[in-house]
Order: sequence, then structure tokens, then C-alpha cells
Amino acid sequence: MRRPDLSVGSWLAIGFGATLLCLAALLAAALVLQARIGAAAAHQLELIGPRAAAAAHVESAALHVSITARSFALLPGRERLEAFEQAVRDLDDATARFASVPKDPESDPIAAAALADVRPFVAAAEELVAAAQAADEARMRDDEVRLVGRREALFGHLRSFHALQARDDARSSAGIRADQRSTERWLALAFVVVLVVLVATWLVAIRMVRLPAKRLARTARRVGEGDYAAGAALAGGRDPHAAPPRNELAALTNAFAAMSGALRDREERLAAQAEELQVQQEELQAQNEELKAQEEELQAQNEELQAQQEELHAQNEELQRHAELLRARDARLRELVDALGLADRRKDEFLAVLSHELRNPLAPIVNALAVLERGDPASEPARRAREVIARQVKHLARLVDDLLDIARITQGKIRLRRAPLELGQAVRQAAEDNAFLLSARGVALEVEVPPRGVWVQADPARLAQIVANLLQNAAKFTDGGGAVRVGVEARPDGRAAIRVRDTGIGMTPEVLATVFEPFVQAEGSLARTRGGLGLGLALVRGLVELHGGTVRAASDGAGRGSEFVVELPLETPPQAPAIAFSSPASAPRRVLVIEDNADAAETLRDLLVLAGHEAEVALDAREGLEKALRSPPDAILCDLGLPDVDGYALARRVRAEPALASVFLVALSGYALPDDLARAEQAGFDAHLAKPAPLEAIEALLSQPRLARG
Amino acid sequence: MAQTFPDHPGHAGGGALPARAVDEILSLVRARHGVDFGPYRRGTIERRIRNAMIAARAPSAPAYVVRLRTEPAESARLLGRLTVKVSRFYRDARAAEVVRAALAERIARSPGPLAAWSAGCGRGEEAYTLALLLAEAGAPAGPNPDVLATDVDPGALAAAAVAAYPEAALAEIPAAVRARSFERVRGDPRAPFRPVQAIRARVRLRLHDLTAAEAPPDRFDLVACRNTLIYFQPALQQRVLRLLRASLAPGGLLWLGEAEWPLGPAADGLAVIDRRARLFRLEEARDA
Repeated sequence: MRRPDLSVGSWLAIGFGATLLCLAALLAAALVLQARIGAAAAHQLELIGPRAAAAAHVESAALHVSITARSFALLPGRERLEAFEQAVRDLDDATARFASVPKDPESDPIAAAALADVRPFVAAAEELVAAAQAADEARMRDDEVRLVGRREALFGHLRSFHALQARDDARSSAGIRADQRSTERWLALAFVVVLVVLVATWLVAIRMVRLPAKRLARTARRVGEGDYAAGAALAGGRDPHAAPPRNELAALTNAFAAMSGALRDREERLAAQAEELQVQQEELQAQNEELKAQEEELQAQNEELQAQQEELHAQNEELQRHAELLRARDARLRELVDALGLADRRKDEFLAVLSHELRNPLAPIVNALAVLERGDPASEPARRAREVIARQVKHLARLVDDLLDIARITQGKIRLRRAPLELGQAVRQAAEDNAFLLSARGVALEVEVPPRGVWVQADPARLAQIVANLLQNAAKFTDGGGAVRVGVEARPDGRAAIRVRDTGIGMTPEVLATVFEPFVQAEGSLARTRGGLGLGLALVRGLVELHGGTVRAASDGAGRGSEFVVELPLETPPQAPAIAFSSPASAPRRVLVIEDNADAAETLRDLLVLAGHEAEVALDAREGLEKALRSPPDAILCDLGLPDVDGYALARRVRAEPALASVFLVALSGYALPDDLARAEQAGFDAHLAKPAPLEAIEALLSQPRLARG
Repeated sequence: MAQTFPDHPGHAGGGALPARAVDEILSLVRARHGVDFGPYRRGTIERRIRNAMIAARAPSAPAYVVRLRTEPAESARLLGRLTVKVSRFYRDARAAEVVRAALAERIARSPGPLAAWSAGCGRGEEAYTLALLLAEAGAPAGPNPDVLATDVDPGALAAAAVAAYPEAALAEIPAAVRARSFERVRGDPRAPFRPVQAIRARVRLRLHDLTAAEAPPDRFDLVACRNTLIYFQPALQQRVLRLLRASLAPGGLLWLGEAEWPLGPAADGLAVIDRRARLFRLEEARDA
């Protein structure tokens, strides 16, 4: 039988409703029955009971009357009489009460009969009593019999009444009992019905709630373990989209089945996704590994790139530095080219001036020679002509000397013969020697020297040349009426100064800048009003610098005169005479001097001779070799910078000659650098002196006992 | 990981490293490794220090100094970075050919073993290049190695001893030379090539600081010092150049890098063999 689709609540409602109905019916029946019982009981209590009690009371009261009557009869006594009276009164009460008690129609006649009997009875009793009182025995016996008889009648009615009442009572009780039994039966029935209903309800509940719930719980556990089929089975074949059944648990089951279905779907979806994710993750892992490898490679490449970049950077900087150096060199070259150009131009100018200056004296010489040729050698014109020649030759010689000096200075071939010199004296002497130049032009000369000696280490001849050139310069550029002042002083900074000041045409700043350059003239025009080669001041500077001093020019401007200041290192005044020509410290030697600078050669020879040796001079290598071969000397002092063959080659030639193998070879050179010393030694020289070689050094060399190497 | 690099050149405010930190770093390196980077070009040094800082993820120069003090490995890495050189064999195929020809001519003139020196060999590419050129020029391989390879970084020398190189490093070697002079080797897959034993046997490795050396280690017929001088300041360049020149045997060859040219007194007596290849020869006759 298909169970109707009701909710559990409905079933429960039905069940409890039915139960309630039963209970209500039961209650109603019970109430009815109880009411009946109550009525019956009340009937018994209120009617039958009192009736019976009243009747009984009457009976007992009657009995008591009888007894008391009889007892009085037996034994009259006041108490008994009172007792009897009391009994009669009680009987009256009882009768009254009995009479008042309600009676039903059936018992009423009997009751009336009973009541009717009472009076006679009482009368009988009274008679008895009266008889007793009268002590009438006869009457007493009659009365007693009558009494008993009335009593029995009364009692009989009373007993009938009783019986009736008893019957009523029994009937009532039976009715009550029946009602009670009915009640019980109703109760039992109700109980059974309720039980049945409850059991049915319980069954229904079991079936509809507990079983499904247990099944649901079981299924939930199984679903929890993953068995979704159990969940699906719950749904049976029901359409999940239909309206949910009204039965809550069925609805719950459906919902659960639906949920379990949904869960399974979801789990399947999740599983699918998880697998997908796994695949992706593995792919990513592989990619990651690859990326890592690439990253490492990139790192390495990056470092390589950085190194390359660094290198390029550094190379770039290096190239830039080279470019800078080249640019600087380029600029320097340009400067040099410009300077060369300038020097070239100056040289051209100078050559023009030189040729002019050299030709000037030639004309008078030619003329003078012509005069000598034609005329009488002893005549006055001839004498004048000879004087002209001498003057002009001297002039030419001076020009050529100046040229040579400048050339030698620039080549570093000038050798100074330095010695302690008192500057004041030397300057005064030089000024006097050149005074005529100034006086001839009408220029005044003043010389100022300090009284105390100012000592320097200088070459006397060259110093005189310096002063002479300065004076000539001053004379040249100062017009008549001017003055030239020459001064010497010892400065506190350890230098001595020679000051030559003039009031001549002065110098502009442009002229000042180049006044000491060779070949530079104050006036560039070929008109040559002043004359000269422009070498004087250049010579002054060269010679002063060779002495280790400085020369400065100053002027306040054109037309404001000029001043030249020469500064030389001060020397302490010597204690001993300036030049000590000692007697030969050694045995006299034969010395050959090979030196192309004639001055130097001559002076060296003079020195050697003064020192007690024999000396010869050769001015070039060839001559030197010749002379050496002709008469082998003990020592050769050889200048390294000879014009034809340099000193080294000469030395080698000398060493190659057996006759000269043991000659003491001394090299003289302007510089004595380690390279030069090494070369000289390699070439065969025994010693090396730097020019200017002091006499002491030469003496020291010459005084060695064994001069040459073996 | 958000880190700020205030000294990073790419940083908006980044600029030069504080001079004091740089001095501290250099004195630390000098104390640890004995190499003085003071006379190196400052720009290069600072850039390389900055790169080392970035690689070490140090947020600032003072922090990097602390790192250097506490981690000895870091200062060794820094040393490697400061001295790292571009690593390729030959570096300039034409120049290498010029050198080979000059060597061949020398051998033809006076047969016999030659001595070569790779000054600043880095990870060995230059040293093995010299060995290759000697072999290609026909120089006989004696029982002793004829190429001395020196560098100031012990890490680089260690790599030179392993002598494994990536393919990219061999790119400029002529195919024929490469085929007969290199072999594949297992190990690091990124560096699978190695010179053959005959070439490797010609090279002797030694730790040597060019900038601190007082005298050359020996006399050589070929001295290669390429792209090393550019990292020195001019004064140090002159000093090293003098040293290199002193290490040349008469008639010996000096091979410099593309941007390098011997200047000044150290260049006396060096005749140019090939300008582009930067190959020079010390004239046989010194001062007569």
C-alpha cells in the first residue's frame, strides 16, 4: 500500500489527534459514568442511606422502647422509667426523622405502614408501663404480648422497608458496580486504542523518521568516505527537480541525495582541475628549470658583456689620451714650425745685415790698398791708408769674433777660464777702455764702484767683453748730451750686480721682449743709422749665463733711457793670490793639446807651460795625430768635439798605433754625462774632464806615477 | 624583495661612490690579497666595485665594506671582478696571424725553442692563444713549457688550469686550427671545449702582480700584454711598459692591445712591425 505523502508532522498530528480524540471520548465516557456513579452513590448516600439509617434507628429505638418497657416491667424503677421515656422520645425523634426522610414511591407505602405501626406500639409500651406501674400482672402479660406483637408488626414493616432499601441499595450498588465496570472497560478500551494509536504512530515515526535518518546517517558516512553512489541511491529514481515531498525526511533525503550528487560533481570537477593543475605545474617546473639555465647563461654573458664594456671604456680613454698627446705634439710642432719660420726670417734679415756690415769696411780697405799701390809707401796718405786698413780690419775682426763667439755659445763650445776676480776693478778698467766711444759721441760716463772689493768667479777677458758690449750698446743708443752710468754693487742675497744705465732712446715693450735675441736690432731698417750686427746683447746674455748669472733689461719707455743689470754669484774674497802657479807637483810632462777652439787651446798650453810642462797644440784630429806620431807625448788632452774626426775615433786611432799605445789619453768635453764617460772609456780614454777643466784636476792627472795603462 | 640601491647608477639619485668607501675597499683588498689597485684607472675601478655591490645585493657602499670584512669569499670575488678581462681566444684573427707570421720568420732565421710570456692572462685564453700561435708557427715543443702565463687573480689562474671554455670563446679561431687544437670535455655543459694536451702542456701558470714587480721574471722572445695597460693610470702604464720592455730578449716581440701604444722613454728601441696588430720588436742592437 502506498503510503500517503504526508509530512511527519502531519502523521504525528494525526496520531496525536487520534489519541486526543480517544482520550476525549474516554474522558467523556468516564465523566458520564462517574456522574452516574456519583448520582447512584449520592442516591445511596442521601436517600437510601439515611432511609435505612432512619429505619434502623426507628427499629433500634423501638427495640429500646420495648426493652425499656419490659425492663421496667420487670423491675419498675425510676431510672427505668426515665429510660423508657427517653426511649419513647428517641422513638418519636426517630420516627419523625424517618417520616421526614424522602421516600420513593415504592417504599413509601411500607414506610407509611411502618409509621402507622409506631403509635400502636408505643401505646402498647405505654400500657405495659402503666400496667407495670399498676403492678398489674395480668395486664402486664397482655400488654407485653401486645407489645411484642406490635413490635413485630412494626418490625416487619421496618424490615420490609429495610429490605426494600436493601434491595434499592443493592440495586444502586450493582448499578454503581456496573458503571464502574463500564468505566473500566471504557478505560481499557481507550488505553488499548491509545496504545494502538501510539504504537502506530511510533511505527510510523520509526519508519518515517528513524529509518530514513539512520539510512541518511549511514549514507552520509559512506558519502563522507567518498561513496557517492550511496548518496545517489538515496534519491531512488525521483526527479530531483520535482517539488520536494512534504515528508520532511524524504525531502531531507532528496536534498541529501542532491547534495551528494552535487558534491560528486564538484569533486570530479575538482579532481579534473587538480590534474590539470598538476600538468601545468610540471610544465612550469620544466620551464623554470629552463629559465634558470638561461638565466645562468645570461648572467655569464652579462658578465662577459660588462667586461667587454669595461675594456671598450678603458680603450676609449686610452685613445683619447693618445689623441690629446698627439694634439699637444701637433700644437708644439706648429709652434716649432712657426718659431723656425721666424728664425729663418731673422736669419735672412741677419744675412742681409751681415753682408752689408761686412762690405762696409771692405770699401775703405780697397781704397786704402789702392792708395798704397799707387803712392809712396812713406808718404802721409800711405800712412793714413795703413791706419785705415788697420782700423777697418780691426773692426772686421771684431765683427767676425762676435759671430764666432755667438756660434760657439750656441754650440756650447766656449770655455771659460774662471778665476777669482774683483769686479769693481775689472769693471772700472773695462769702462776706461771703452770711454772713448762715449766721449766721441758727447756722452758723459760715470763709474761707481764700492770701496770694498766685490769678488766673483769669472773669466777676466769675457767679463771685459760683457762690460764693453754693454757700454757700446749704451753709446750706440744715446745721443749727444746724454749720460751713461756704470755701477757695481754687492747685493745681500749673495749676488753681485753690474748696472749700466743710459739716458738714451729707451726701449718699447716689444723691443724689451727680444732685446737679448741675436740678430735683433732696435731699428730694422736698412738705413742702419746705428750700425752693428745686433749680436752684442746676445753675446752678453750668453756669456753671463755661462758664468751662472743673469742679465736683465729695463726701460721706462721710448725716449726714457734704458738700464741693464748683470747679476753674478758672489764669491768670498780669496785669501791667497788669485792664480797660484805652483811649481810642477810632478815631473814635467810632454803634453799635446788637441782642441779646435784656438783660444782654449792657447790658454791651455799657456797654463801647462806655466805649470812647468811642455805643451803643443793641434787644432784638429789630423794635425793632432800627425804631431803625436812625430813626437809621441806623455799625455794627450783631446777635445771630443773636433771638426773633422770626433775624439772617440781619434782615440781609437791613437790606441791602434803601437807607438802611442801607452799615451795617457784625457778626454775633454762640454758635458760629462755617464753615457759620454762610458763611451770615452770604451774608445780608449784613460780619463775624462769636463770643460772648463781646472788646472788642479789636470795637474792631478798628470802627476800620477804611471800614466798610461799597460 | 624590495631593496634600495642608493649608489646604483641606474638609481635616480645614484652617482659616484663615496671616495672614502672606495679607498677603504681598496685598502681592504690590498691587505687581503696584496694587490694595490690605487694606480689603476679610477673610473674602471669604481664601476667594477659598483657591479660587485649589485651582484652581492649590498644596499650601500658602507654596507658592502662590512660584507667584505666579514666574508672572505666576497673579497675574493671582488678581486676577480676588479681584474676580469674579456675572455676570447685570438681576440683579433688578423693580428694573431701577423704574430704567427713574425714568429715563423724568427724561427726560420734562428731555429730553436722560443720563450713567450702572457702578462695578465686572465682565465687563460691569451696564454693558450700564444701556445697555439707558437705551435702554428712551428716552434718545437721542448720538455719544459715555453709559455709563462701570469695573472694577479688566483681565481682566474685556477680557471686557466681547468682550461674549459664555452663555444663563444672560440669564435675567432680559424676553423682548421680550432679543429686540431681543441677537444670536447665532459663536465660543465656550458664550457665544453678545452685545448688539447699538447697545447696545454706548453703553458705554465704562475701568480704574479705586474704592477708590483720590480724585475721581469725572465727574458722572452714574445711578450703579450693585451688590454691590460688600458686599466692603469699613465704613471703605472709607463712603469709596466718599462718592465715589459726589459723582459724582451734582443729582437723580441711585444704584442699590445688595440688601443695601446708604447709612449715615452719606455718605447725607446721598439720598432713597429705592424701598426694595426700592435706588434713591436725590440731592436737587436741596443746603444752601440
